[in-house]
Amino acid sequence: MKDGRRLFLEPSNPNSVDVFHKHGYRAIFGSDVIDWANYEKSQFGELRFYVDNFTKLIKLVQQDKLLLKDLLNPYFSETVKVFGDSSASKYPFNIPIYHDVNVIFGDKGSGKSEILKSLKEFYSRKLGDQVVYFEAGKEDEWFNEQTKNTDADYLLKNVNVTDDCSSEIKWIKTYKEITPTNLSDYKMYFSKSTNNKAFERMLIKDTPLTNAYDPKLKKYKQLMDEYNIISNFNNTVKTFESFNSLDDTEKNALSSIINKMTLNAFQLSSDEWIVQKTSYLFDDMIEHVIEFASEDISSPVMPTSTKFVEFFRNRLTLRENAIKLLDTMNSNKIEKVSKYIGSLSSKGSLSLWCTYRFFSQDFYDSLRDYEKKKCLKRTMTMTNLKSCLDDLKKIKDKFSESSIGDLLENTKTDFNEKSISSLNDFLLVVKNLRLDGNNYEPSKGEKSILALQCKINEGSASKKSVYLIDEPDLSLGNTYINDIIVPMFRSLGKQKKIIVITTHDGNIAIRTRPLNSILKLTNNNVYKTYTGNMFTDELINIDDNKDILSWKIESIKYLEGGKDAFDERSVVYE
Amino acid sequence: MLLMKGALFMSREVKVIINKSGDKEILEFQFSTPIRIEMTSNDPKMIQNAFAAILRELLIDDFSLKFDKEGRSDLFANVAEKYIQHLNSEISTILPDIPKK
Repeated sequence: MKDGRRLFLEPSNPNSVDVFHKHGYRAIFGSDVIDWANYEKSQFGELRFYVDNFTKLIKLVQQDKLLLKDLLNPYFSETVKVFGDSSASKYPFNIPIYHDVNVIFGDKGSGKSEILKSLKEFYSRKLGDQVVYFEAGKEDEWFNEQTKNTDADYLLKNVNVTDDCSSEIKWIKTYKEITPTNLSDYKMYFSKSTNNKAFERMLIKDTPLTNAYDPKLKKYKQLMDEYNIISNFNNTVKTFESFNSLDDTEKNALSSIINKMTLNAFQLSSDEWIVQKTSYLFDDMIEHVIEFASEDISSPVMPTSTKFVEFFRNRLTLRENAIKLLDTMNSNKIEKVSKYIGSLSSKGSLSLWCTYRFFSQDFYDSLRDYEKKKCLKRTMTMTNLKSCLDDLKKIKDKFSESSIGDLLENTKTDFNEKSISSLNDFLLVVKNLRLDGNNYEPSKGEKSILALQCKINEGSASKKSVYLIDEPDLSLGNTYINDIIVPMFRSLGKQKKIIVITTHDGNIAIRTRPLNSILKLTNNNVYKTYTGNMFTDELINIDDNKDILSWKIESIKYLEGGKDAFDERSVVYE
Repeated sequence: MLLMKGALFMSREVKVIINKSGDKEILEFQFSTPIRIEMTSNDPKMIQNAFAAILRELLIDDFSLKFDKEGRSDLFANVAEKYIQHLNSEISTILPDIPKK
């Protein structure tokens, strides 16, 4: 160290190099590999620049300007004109931007954030959606955005349900009781038609209706479903490896059985269809013959039924629809990880979880207050959904009650009050953050770190090329900065992304090893901008290249709280 | 419900009679709690209520209706006889679809 410029160190731990750097020394980390059999397990310092010979290495340590210029050149991106409030004399001015970490530091109120805003505009115009912009201090907004439910959350696919039951709900909402045949119709017939002997001899009028026709063709549809399943299986089974492992006799036997089942299923469904259509035609024919005959002799029509079947089927359908809705809504809740949010250092990793479930009072009651506020679809209320659910349960249990009419009126009112038209309206969605699987509500500082990580991770995933980060250190602890933020920016730098960070934090400004440092100063409404880097230890005024400041001195002043504070801390720590 | 030689036999038979009460002719289904339809009324709600009650009885157990004219051969007896005949036929149609508890 005779010339005061060289330090060759063989520290026990690579972190020591960072300490030296932080104290303004120039250090190179050399590592002795003791056990060459386990060479790959040895730790090595990270070389900021690639030098291919010893002479260059010495020059690098000596901060040779020409060499450093050569080393920095490949990273240079462009000179960007910074704009701001046109009335302020400080604008516009030019700054260099590198494909690496670019740090802006300096006085408060000197226009650091304005530079970022201007860069955002510049790069958005140039690169479109390739820009990630992060502004600290908006962590609550970010948190609310993450846990906010969107229309896409209220889709039935989230609870693995395909039928939204809108037709069942519509049926219930428009339910009308069947009007039975009035006994006066019978009276009318018997009091006026019995005098006509020809009509009396027409025995067809006494033929009972089959009443077997089901307008919904329920049994036929069930048999057709059966046929389709067997038929599809018959086609796909031949592609199964297990089928092809059978010998020919076994294959033929199985095919023969499946073919027979297919034919049987088809026959049964056809027979049922014939029964249904025959019943319909038969009953219709009887009714029309009696009607025509009655008209011919000007006699009242003989009622063909009391309409008890229609009454019963109507009530039964009501019950079945209520049961279908209740059963579907009774499905289990679905919980899934929506996305990885970030790491809270040694505390663990946080992910956003979504819980989807149809409304149930118990589940709703189990939620925390802030979850209750967000979980329902915007237009729904808990009271209304509860009423609807209670109505359906009553319909299921009381479908044979005389008072069903009143109950249905309540149901219609409840369903119409919030225009409930499908099961989507009954969905509850709860989003919360979980730390290694357990519910966790991050503190303000943790929200900041997570918001930043989230932004960077999303940007990385979608391969964004420019990251503009405004004061990421705001309300963050040193642990998070060292463990998470610094490695994150370093990683982006290695990918040759453009990262521009405004900061007051020494760890971010120094430990990210930025190739470009921009110092912003202001004094009595005079604004100055210096650019340079830690490797040359120079910061040059962009308006006067003879005005050169020491990067080290300015860094200590603005990032470490001044030399005295820095020295005092060093003494205390030592 | 018993199934014998392909025919359906109801497990119980419920008697239906006509009761006269003043001017009113009332069709009475003699369940443990009787169901009544006023034959001289045109109120569909009354028949709907009677149907609902019949449905509740069917939920308990199957039955068939047996109309007892009790010697009457007037208009109301004819009406009731036909009505019960139709009702019986319709009940037997829906029996397979009755939800069992």
